[in-house]
Amino acid sequence: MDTAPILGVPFVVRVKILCKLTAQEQLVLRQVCKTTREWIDTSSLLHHLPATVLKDNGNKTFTKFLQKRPPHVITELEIENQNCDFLHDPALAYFLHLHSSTITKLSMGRYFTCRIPEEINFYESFVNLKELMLHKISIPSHGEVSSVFPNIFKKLQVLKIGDVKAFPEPPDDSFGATLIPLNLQRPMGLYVWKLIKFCEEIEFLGYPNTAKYFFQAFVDGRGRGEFGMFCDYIQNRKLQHPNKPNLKFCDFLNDNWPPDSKNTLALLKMGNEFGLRYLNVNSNQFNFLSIGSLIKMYDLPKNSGDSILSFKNFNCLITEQLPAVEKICMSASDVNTMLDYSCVFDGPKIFPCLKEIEIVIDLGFNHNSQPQDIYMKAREFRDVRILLSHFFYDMELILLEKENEAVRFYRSVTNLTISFKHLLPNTQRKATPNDLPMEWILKALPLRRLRIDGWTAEPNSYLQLWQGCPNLEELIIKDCENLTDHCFIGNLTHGPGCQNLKSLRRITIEGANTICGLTERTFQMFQKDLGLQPSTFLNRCREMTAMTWST
Amino acid sequence: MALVRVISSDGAAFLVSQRLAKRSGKLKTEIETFRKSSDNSEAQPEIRIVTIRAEILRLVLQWLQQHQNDPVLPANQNEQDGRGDAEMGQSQWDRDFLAPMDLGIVMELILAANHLEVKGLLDITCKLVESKITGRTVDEIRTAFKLKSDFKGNEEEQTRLENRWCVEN
Repeated sequence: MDTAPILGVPFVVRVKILCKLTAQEQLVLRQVCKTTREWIDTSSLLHHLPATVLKDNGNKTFTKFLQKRPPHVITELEIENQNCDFLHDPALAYFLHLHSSTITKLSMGRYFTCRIPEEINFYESFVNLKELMLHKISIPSHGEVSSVFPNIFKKLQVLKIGDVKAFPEPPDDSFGATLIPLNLQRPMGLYVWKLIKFCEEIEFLGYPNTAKYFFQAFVDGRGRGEFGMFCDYIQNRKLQHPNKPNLKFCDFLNDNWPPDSKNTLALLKMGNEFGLRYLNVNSNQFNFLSIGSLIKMYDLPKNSGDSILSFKNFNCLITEQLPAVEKICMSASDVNTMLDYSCVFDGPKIFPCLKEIEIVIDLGFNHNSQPQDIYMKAREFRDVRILLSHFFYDMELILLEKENEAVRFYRSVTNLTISFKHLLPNTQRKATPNDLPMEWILKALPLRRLRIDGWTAEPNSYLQLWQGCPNLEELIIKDCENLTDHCFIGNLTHGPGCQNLKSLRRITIEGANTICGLTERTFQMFQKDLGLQPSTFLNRCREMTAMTWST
Repeated sequence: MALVRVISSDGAAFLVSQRLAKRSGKLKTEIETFRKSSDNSEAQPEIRIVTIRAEILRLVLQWLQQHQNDPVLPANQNEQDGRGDAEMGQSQWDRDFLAPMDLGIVMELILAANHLEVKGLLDITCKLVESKITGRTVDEIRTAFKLKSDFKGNEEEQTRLENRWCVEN
């Protein structure tokens, strides 16, 4: 061979060789010759590469991406499209040529039912696609509803659907039904089920939020509505495709079903019969009925509750032991102040295997909020505190008595996510540990992984937080605008933050606004004091929205 | 035992069992295509590999022979992020197999494993190349891979300065 053999290896082999090198090793290679420098500069051959997000720039979406960022290995792609214009980008074909075969996970802002050949060709090009997320299915409210699906959908293992809406969307959802002819509502509703049934190999279904106006008039022919369709699908799946793997997981994160104990019973029965596990089951589904009494009443096997893996909108009203539940989510917007919290909630006994807790503070302050709105929202914030105090029962009292003692009540919980959403930026109101009883939470959990999203706290609050998590192994900070060097380096009162983060093996900082508050001082601290290595290049920092440091 | 004749770019023929050959994704496809197009089900397939010379093809077949009873890994196993996992399949035999080879042969073996779609072999050879980069200086890498610096003027110094934030810490 005339040139050095290593320079002639195909792209896939090059990726295979380089992707396990550390940042330092990649940088050494960068100094060897122009070709190796180009390899490193034009590739994000990084550990744990995050999903590549493409913003919708109409028919320039891919052109702008390819101009701005050099080609690199993309395995997860998110396109935040609002219409089909991106399909007319002249750079689309080149983008697909470069990347479509490595992408296994695709997330689309909107799916337009493949009415035009370009859309179907687009999906068909992802030959190795395993997971598809459609944030919104936009079904045209005029003309015939298409029933053509890309063939690659048949091989999908995971299908997640967000909202299902008519297109164009009515200006106000609440009156939308009146704008869609009645004779179109049924085929539009059926479209989603045709799509789900077409994906005959899916093992994980993210159940859609079918907007109310869509399905109020829609029934399955036997008057049982949407839930009946769901039950039929589960029961027929094995019969229709006996050689294909059965559905194993159903995620109800987006479902919009009204509370109905009959539905709950049907879910438990099907879970038991078909080995189906449920994620993000709405706690309000149970409608004040005990799962245990439902199981007893209908003579179901005792372990029928094991089909539930996680709860959303958790409300502390569950009293029987559910050993299979691994995650619960409590959202501030779902706290029902009318609930009676007088009974004792013995969380560690009810969820002996709980691994993860998510707390979402999603109280929608916005720029137009009137003083009375803010007062009402602040009150709701207090309701969140009541719910949390119930979940972390008696923690407040215990902490008063044994102020400095760490009490690990939920011994199995190692993961905590706290998200602050829609808080008005740049106001005096800060989401600090005083708003949220961080001290109870941290003392009750032996945390190893913490994710904070959208926190606008002061440096001292961060330093207090690190003090409460001495065994933290992974930290993810996203969209926290006030994050600065002081949040890690510390001050006279709290000392260096790194002292409390000695167990850390991985830090990820996401969001351009979060990264820009940090300087090389912090990065050096990660490297020298915590022994973490950068997985991304600082000289590309301005273009980046995420950075990861790991051992 | 059904056999297949595999011919290298320089004309050397290797007679191997179809069972063994089918552990290569490329050979498997070729055998199946031959079966579909052939009227005689007893006919022996003949596959010409125009990009691989005899010495390298012999090494690939030797590796396949040694690993013929290993479970077949799907092509995308452990590669959701574009990476393989060489450690999973590397044995003492693999280490002894690769030890006497110079890097030129290893590079050819990588190309052959990639072309013939032999995932396990591709993993261990890539791992070997990666180990020749790990912990080496710039000059050591140049020597090992027979690479020459083609930087002009102060380009090399400029590159070193760009790397300083990470390399010198």
